[in-house]
Amino acid sequence: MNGHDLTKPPIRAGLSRRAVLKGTVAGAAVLATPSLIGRAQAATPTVRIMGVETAALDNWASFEKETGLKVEFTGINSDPGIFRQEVVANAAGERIDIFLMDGGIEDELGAKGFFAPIDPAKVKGWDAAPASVMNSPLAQGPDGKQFGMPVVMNADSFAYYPEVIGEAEPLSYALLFESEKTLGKVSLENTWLTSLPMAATYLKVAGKQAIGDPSNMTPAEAKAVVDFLVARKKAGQFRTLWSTFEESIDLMARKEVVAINCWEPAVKELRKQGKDVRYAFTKEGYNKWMICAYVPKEAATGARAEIVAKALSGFLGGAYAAQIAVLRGYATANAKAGLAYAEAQKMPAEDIESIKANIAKIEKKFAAPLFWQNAAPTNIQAIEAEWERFRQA
Amino acid sequence: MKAPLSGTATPEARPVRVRAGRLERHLGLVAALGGFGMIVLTYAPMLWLGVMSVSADPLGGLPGPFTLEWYDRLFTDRRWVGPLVSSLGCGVVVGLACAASGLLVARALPHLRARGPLLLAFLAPLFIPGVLLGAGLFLYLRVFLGLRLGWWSVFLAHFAWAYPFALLALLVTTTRFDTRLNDAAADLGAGPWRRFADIEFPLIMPGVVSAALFGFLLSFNELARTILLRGTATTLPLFEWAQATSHSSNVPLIFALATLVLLVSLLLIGVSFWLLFGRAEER
Amino acid sequence: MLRTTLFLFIALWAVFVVVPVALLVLWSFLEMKDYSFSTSLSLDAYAAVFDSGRYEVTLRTLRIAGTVTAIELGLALPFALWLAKGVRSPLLKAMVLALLTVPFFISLASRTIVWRSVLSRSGLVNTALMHLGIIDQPLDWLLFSEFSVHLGLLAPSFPTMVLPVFLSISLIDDELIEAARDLGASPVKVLGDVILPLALPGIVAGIIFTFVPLLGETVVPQLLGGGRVAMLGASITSLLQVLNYPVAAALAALVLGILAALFLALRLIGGGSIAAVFEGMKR
Repeated sequence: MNGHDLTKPPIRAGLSRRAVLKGTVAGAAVLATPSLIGRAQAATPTVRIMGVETAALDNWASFEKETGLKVEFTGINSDPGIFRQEVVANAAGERIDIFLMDGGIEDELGAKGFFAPIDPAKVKGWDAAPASVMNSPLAQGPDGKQFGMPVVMNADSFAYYPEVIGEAEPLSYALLFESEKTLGKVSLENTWLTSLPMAATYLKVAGKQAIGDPSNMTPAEAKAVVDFLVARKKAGQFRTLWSTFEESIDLMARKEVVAINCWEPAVKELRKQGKDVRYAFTKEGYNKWMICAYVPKEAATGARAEIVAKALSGFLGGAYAAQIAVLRGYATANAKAGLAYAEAQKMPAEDIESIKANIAKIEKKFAAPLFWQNAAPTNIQAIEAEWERFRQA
Repeated sequence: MKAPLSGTATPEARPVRVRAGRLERHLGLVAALGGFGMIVLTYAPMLWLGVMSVSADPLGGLPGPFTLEWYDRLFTDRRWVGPLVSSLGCGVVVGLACAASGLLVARALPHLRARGPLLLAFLAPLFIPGVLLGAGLFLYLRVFLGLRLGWWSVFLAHFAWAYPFALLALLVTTTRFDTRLNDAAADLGAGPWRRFADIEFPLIMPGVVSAALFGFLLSFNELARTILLRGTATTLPLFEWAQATSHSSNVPLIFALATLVLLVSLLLIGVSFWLLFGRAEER
Repeated sequence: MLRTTLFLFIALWAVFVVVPVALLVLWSFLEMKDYSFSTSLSLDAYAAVFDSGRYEVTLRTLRIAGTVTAIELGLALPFALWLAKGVRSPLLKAMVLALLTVPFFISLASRTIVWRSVLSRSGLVNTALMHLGIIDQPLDWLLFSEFSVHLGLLAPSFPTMVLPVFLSISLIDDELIEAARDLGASPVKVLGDVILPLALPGIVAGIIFTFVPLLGETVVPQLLGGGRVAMLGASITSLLQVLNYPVAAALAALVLGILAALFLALRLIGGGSIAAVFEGMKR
């Protein structure tokens, strides 16, 4: 039985009505001159991207226009295990030109030779982006080799109802982990990836626990953090753990919880519903994450390398930055290019405002000291086992 | 269904009906209430889903104010159409394969000597949690055998999952089939194909239909085993799985698309069951 | 021809399904690094199962799956009997079957998230109870508790129990039941001596179809368990995220072992062996 006949690339056309209209016009033009079709396809090289949907646009048309590439996108979710499996065991590099994945993974996969180092000289816009971002430990391997190029980033904290908390910012993570005000009305994200480092940061800054690097803990440090979390769980601090974006909105909207370490776009949705919810500026620091572009070693030479360079330039370009800022409220490494693009394209004033607000927010939060979210800590299996102990408790 | 042996009972055969006493009617009422209670428990959430799909704040809100915004968004961003078509296609192939190979095995299995161990071997994938069967197949096909994954491995995973269901549904009917009917037909000069088409198949048809249906339905919503075996293939559950970490609202997919699927499947399944079972019994 | 195809199919099944499943058990005794397994045997994975509390998860999962299956059987058996033998109208029968089939199409996550608006602190139930003055504080245990997990699992597992039981009961010849009556058997005796033995294959199939998928269920415990009611599916998924295959395989082996022990125990008590079921199927 051969299922290959079923293969149809997912339809990714016509996403906004404007694009549909444009597409229809273009389609009619192509139909009118059938001889052009063959040549047009040969002339536009395709970049095959596999990555998390967080970094995906819902319409790649302007990205394609800017780069002269056609985009073929295969979505995965942010599960680092699945991603490693695709790269290491499934040889995804043979059929994919660029991976988009949470930074940190290159410490392992870059060092083992699955990713090729990126040459900044070949990527347009690299020098315009702040060096502190481009050289962040989430883009470089342990020996400082540039395996990743930052694409989308943010600094996460937690959302809360100001009327319940009644304190001025900056706030402390104590509100999540041990506060009478929020007892029984807190939800944590159901993963060691974000919730454990946040708890570790809180304990470290409060001086309750000696912890070296909250995002790369030793088994003993992880155990101490989980002991604390288990005690708080037994005290009834946490109402529930959340796993999907919709859950986090739902929990806050019906006030089932009043503080939650969710993604920032959830706050945008809640405010749209008229709820007075804020995303905290904190004393201790943020869970800073970035989604990086990685190049599989197979795509580092020849014609594929040229396509890759064009696509990487596109991720630092204005069209991508402007769209992702409006779509999710996240910034790219070269967010100012997005502002310039939005102004040149005469995008709506509210979109331009939100792009400006994003740039300001990122600058403020990224100046804070602590910690980088790390999808591949050294003691990953011990950390996972400790997290499982918390869930069992 | 027609009772298989009723034709031989009396010269003027009439369908025998089970007579029900008063006690049985009362008990029947209780039984019906229990079952319909579960059906209400199944459909009440889906009804709520439908109401919220036309409400402004489906998450954490109450019904109303009413709007078609989510449907509008669903049809503006149509990336889900491709995966939906793929899932339907994959389901049909798995369903047909389950019915055909299930029939092959279910007819022969009761007469084989090693039927106990064979049945266990066919049921084995049922007892492995989904994600783990996916991981096991992945390690075996990709790492151990070095094969390149794609739609064929998605099909294999879905088939391995659905086949035990299909086979059991078929066995329930084929083991009931009275082989003496075939012998009688052979005595009357019917060839093997005629015997199968005119005698055996009509009697085991509900099992065949159930097998195909189980294959289709279990494939259509399968996610856990598909994730690792996809290659670059995308089914509807895979698309939704990837979207879940997009940091964007998937309300159109969760509420509007689910409601549309509900309405379409109610219509299709309702009509086809009526054609398959309803009318057949009237004849 | 048919025989060759049959043996070819059995061979393919063995190579692509049985071997990977068997290897899973083997992997639980090995250590793995970078997708290559060590050749030395070890029991580390089993030690890890007990250290991280995953052993309790396994027992809890078996308990919850068992409870839900028992409730389903209690509701489904009378309902299927009523539907197969008590309902005269083919239309009603086709409609009920369609209603039981349609839920397979709707993603479980969509159907489950709705329970939150019913069971949460500000949900329908709590609001109603407080309005009526029965309670002054919202009940916390309605949501994110074992109660809500059981409730959420009930409706999705009902069709897998009813459908095979219905299929097997509807295949029982009405004349057999009538004959038993004419010979003076009481309704209880008809049920116990005629219907139940003949429906046994369907009942066993229903129990397997319901119980086993519950063991790997991830969506409902995640959405309604609130991180308090950890079940096996999520535990295994979490292990696979960090590529801890040996411990995941050990969990599966543990479940298989417990199920095998249950089967053996049933066999000792009498009747439950898979071969006996098969003989039951043959009648």
